[in-house]
Amino acid sequence: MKQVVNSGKDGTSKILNSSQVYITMFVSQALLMLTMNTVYSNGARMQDFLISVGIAFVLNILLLIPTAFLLHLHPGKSILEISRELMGRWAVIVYGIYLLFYITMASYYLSFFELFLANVLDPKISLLMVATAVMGVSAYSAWRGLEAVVRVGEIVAVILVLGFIFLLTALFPKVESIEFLPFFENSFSSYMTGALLLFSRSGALSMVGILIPHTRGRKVGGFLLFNLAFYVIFSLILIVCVGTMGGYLDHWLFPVYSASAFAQTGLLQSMDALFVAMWICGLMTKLSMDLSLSALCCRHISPRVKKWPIFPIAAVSGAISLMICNNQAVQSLFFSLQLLLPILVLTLGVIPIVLLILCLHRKKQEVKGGKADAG
Amino acid sequence: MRDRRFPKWQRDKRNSGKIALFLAITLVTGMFFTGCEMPVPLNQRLLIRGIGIDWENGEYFASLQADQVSENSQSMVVVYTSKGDSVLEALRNVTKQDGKIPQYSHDLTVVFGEGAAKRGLNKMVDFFLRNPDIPSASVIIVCEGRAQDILSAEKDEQVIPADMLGDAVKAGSYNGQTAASDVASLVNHLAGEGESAFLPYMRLEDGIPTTAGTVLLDRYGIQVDILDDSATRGLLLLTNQLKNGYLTVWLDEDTKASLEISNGSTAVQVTEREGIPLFTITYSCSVNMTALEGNFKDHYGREYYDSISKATEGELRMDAQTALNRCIFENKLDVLQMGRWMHKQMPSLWNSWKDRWHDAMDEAEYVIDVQANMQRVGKENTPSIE
Repeated sequence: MKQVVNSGKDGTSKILNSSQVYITMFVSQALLMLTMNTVYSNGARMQDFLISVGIAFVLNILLLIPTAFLLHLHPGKSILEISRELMGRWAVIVYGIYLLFYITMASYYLSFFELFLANVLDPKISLLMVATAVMGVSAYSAWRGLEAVVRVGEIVAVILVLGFIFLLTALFPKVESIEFLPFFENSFSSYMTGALLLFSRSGALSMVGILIPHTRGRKVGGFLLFNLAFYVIFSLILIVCVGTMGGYLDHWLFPVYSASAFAQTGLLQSMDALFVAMWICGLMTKLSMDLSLSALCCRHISPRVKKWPIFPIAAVSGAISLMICNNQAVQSLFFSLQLLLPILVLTLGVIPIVLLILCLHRKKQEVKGGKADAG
Repeated sequence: MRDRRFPKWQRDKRNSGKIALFLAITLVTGMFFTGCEMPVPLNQRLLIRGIGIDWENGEYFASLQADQVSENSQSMVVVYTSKGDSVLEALRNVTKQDGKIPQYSHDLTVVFGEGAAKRGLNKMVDFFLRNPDIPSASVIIVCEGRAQDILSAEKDEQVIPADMLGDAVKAGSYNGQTAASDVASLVNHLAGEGESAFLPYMRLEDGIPTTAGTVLLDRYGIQVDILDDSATRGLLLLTNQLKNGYLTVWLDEDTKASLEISNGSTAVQVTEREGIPLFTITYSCSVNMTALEGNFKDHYGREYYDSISKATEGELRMDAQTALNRCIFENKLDVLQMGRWMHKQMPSLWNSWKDRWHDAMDEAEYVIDVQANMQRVGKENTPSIE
């Protein structure tokens, strides 16, 4: 049963269903499927991503183990609240890092979409207008609140799943076993690079530490189901794409888009428009969520702040995305592992571990203090 | 929760204000979007159905077959030709004749002339790969003579639409006589390790473009040989593309059977014999009798069942062997992707062969096995099916 939603003092939903949040995470993660390619993959083929997907599946779980322990020790509190409790005024560093994380992720995904438009669709409209329109809508959606974003996420998830089902059924009859070459011919580093590329772009995982503590429902089981469902669908998409078009996809910046243009079932052909629709829906949801969570970080920095930071953050993200499109060096920084991987590991790995250490240290101190009092 | 603090008329006034503001913003921003700012009427578009590329005297010649829509919405097919130093330049120079904006059909057909095919398609494929306007599923054809002649061919005083040429090629999926190919599969074959490519071949017969076999290309995309219809059927068999087709076999000097092939499937098994790869190619299909041409009053017994199957198997095996001989032994072109099968099934053996595969593929052994199973005999009960 869906829970009644009330906004908490920190702006998060007091009660959301964990399934709603995981569904929204799925929508955000689905952009990974739509945007993967072999650039920066250290020589990997599209087929090799099937191995990388398995590695990324495990890495996701490993990354969140410290977060899971931390949340277990502080039930009902998010990472941001726990950091305030444990670090006091130094928690502003954590808030700043998370804010930077969300701006980075939003910029990256928006820039990827802009590059797609510029290279493939080539609209006459400027990328500035595209960024303004997309971020404007996403900012308004974020302004309406997390609950609105999550509820939209549920609808978009249905669109995405239906789109993926269509792609799978349209491409599956054309799969040829000859397009698959033996695995493990390349060096392991190429598989690992592919896995790290997928892993580093999984910004949606941050919702586990920020939103899930404030939800009801199965949290651990829900995450495992989300992770499994996502990577199973991802693997199936890879299998039909590679099985249909083989090494041809290695030449493309947007392989899944190319495969969708190849898809045909009955009278329906060239379903690239479907792909673009799926991408836009998923992108809007993801950007809305990133902006909402960015505003949440700002509210933790200064409780007097309401929702207004959403708009300057949206503007900054849009500006960075344009910079990525127009500057090769910045593009290389964002699209390779140089920036996204360290910031993801810092945000979702190092910070929870540091908090966990602080938490355990404090508990130890409390136990010692208790023993001293008893003595 | 209803807002009980304000009376309904004030709430309605607030909401209508918001709606008005929203509509105003939408209309204003809409003026900046080029969809509204720069609409292109259909009669200002060059709807391209087919592209022809020829190479003559060191220049590219492009032929564009397009739909021209008049202002009163009448459509006619026209062909434009132009030339240039590159494929793109040749295509873009068409706009010098007609200022319309080109738009490529999602069902595009690309025809390469003989000159272009003998120069090497490797030099031209990148345009089709890089240009997002060219669909990956575009049909590619090589023709005899000039592509311009194929695209300009007329029937009943009207230019034959290029998508009909594409449909003729795709008919291979049920007539078993034409090897279809698109941009994606051409690129895969040319880029594949040790592989070569093939494309459907077309020529004008009595002024009508007709499929006439298959062109074999080397790893640089240069035309090397042309297979006729029966060898093409063998090629389709060897590459698991002979799903359906038609066949006529002689049972005795007076009797021939017209047969329909269906559910065709090819499996390739690679083994090793003293370091030499052995490819066992097994094709199985269902055979349906469509006509038995002999003396109508004669009835044929069960013994014809075996002879029909054997005759079918013999005919198909001969076609396949012919294709194999032409591809592997005469021209040393691995259009059959045998190297790829070896790579899949015996990677360590492939590692020892891949560097010399182009020159040594004829040293491997190839065995072709065909199994034809009679399925239907129509309404006539002879020969009967057990």
